[in-house]
Amino acid sequence: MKKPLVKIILIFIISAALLAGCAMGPRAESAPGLSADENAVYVSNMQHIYKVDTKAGTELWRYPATGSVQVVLYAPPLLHESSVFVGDLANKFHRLDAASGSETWSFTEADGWFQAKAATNGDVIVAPSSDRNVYALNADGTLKWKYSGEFGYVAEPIILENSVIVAGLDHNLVSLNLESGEQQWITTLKGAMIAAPAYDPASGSLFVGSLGNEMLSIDSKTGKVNWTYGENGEISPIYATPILVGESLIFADESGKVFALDPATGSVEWTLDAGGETVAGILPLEESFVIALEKGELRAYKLADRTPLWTRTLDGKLYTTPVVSADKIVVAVTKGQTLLQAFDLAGNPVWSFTPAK
Amino acid sequence: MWDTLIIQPFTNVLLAITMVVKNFGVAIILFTLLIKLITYPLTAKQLKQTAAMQALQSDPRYKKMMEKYRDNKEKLAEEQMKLYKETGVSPFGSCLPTLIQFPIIIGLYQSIIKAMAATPLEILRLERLVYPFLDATKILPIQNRFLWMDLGQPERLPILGIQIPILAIIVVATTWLQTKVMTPPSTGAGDQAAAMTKSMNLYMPILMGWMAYSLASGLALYFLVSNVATVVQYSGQGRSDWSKILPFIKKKSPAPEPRPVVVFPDDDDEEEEQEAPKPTAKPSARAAVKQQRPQYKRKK
Repeated sequence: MKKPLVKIILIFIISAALLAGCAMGPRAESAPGLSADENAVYVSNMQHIYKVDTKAGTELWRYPATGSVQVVLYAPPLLHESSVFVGDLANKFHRLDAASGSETWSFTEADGWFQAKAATNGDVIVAPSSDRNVYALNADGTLKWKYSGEFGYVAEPIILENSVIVAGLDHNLVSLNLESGEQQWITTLKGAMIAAPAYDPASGSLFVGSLGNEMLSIDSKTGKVNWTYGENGEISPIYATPILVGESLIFADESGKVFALDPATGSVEWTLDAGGETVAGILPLEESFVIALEKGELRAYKLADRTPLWTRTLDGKLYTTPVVSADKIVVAVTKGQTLLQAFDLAGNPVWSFTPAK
Repeated sequence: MWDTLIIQPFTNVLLAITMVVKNFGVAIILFTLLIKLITYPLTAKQLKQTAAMQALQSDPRYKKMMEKYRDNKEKLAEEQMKLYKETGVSPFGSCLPTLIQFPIIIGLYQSIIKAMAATPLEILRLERLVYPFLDATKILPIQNRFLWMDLGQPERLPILGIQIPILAIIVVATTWLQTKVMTPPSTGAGDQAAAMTKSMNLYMPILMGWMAYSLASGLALYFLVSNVATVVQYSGQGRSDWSKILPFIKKKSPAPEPRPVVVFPDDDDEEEEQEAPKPTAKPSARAAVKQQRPQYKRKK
């Protein structure tokens, strides 16, 4: 009797592993979330969020101190004054002390994952969730209001004075009253939005790309579309936030083509083939910009004439937009030997960070 | 290779069904039924082979042979192979259809997971799987709301403030039902296979229930539909033994099928031709199943 029982248990364990793929925790495949201030980078990846000293590349703290398969973090942390705001895939949203990594409070009323970076003006924290709700929290972590959309949210919201702009997977870009959560306007795009819009305070325009092969300029007050680029099949899906550099709106599409458009009219100023599929956003530097290709290449170009400056190849995939901290470019690597790799502004490797077990 | 041949076509069919019916939950149900329908000839063959094997193994002369060569494994294997060959029953006859079905079932399961993409990286992977003619931009990500469920999340139904995993409970019940109606009759006391089956009947519903409880409800829905479809398939072939579950159901006297004649090899210890048991007015479930077993003849 014992032998068959052992066999059965073994068969079940193998079947469960095959079918469930370690079903103990949230089943999700995602890329590290990365943020930075002047002295440190914060990266959320799998069971922890790590604070890493940018000068030395050493771990300052990790949260939670002891990892659990039930808690998975991929949302980019939001840094505000002395706090870090980050949500996890166990449906909790946390406020941490940036100096120590200890938890100040957590919000537990959501029914879905927190994958998006939150936004705050100091008084209200806006945290979109995969449960189709956008949660606005008071500074003490209590619920102020919530707004329900048609699908989950993975894009960072933008707070503009008394409103908050939220881009959804339901193809809708909405403006909500920051105090009440009341919808002010809604604009429907062709595709889902994975990343936050860029905002130009001078013109009051929002620039947002979608999986519908389009880049739009939208008036932030009314939601009216100023122009649309990509209607003739010029671009492929867009997974990252565009950047405003000088007089240009710059973004890369999934195929790896980089576009610079006139923000006022949407007309093309220049294009560039980066040489590989691109999911991460473009990192602007003083007179150059850096693009992270999915295949693991980091390429820097001179902004003025797009002359290639340097190329570095990393072991792993790049899906996360690089950040700058203490004059270093920090890249988060997916499925690589290291989690973080830092370069100086000339592209020379400085340090790499692999979390200790 | 696996992705191109199995996952990609499966995912695209699932997405195409979703586009037509405009509901991912309904699409999962239809897709699971479609796959069950396509693999039905294999299932039927497997059932037929299993029945033939069970019939052979329950024969007293087979048992006698097992007893006779109990201490001589080599001779036993040789005699068994000879018997299989001469009776036309393949020992692997029920395994092969299962093996062919296995990648299809795994493919079905993985395509449902792929279609329920919830993170940007999963959406990217799904977008790249979609055939150009389906226009991924319009359908991604899939709207996965179905009844009270978010198919991308584990299912819970709040009743009086308590989160009850209704779907997981139904999956446990249907898995138990499935194992009960599919369980072949025991070929004898102390039978190792019977002991394994008994354990399986206990652990399988628990395992499936745990998976339905902890995984996305889209997968739990697939488990449920698959269980129900399997029970219906078995019932359709007249192989389900409902009297095991509902004792008040007396198995109706089967109109005995013409039993297949299997030629049994020469055996000095066994000379007589075995007679088929005569059907009684109200046979027991086991007797009814026995009646459907093939009839063995001595090889002349």
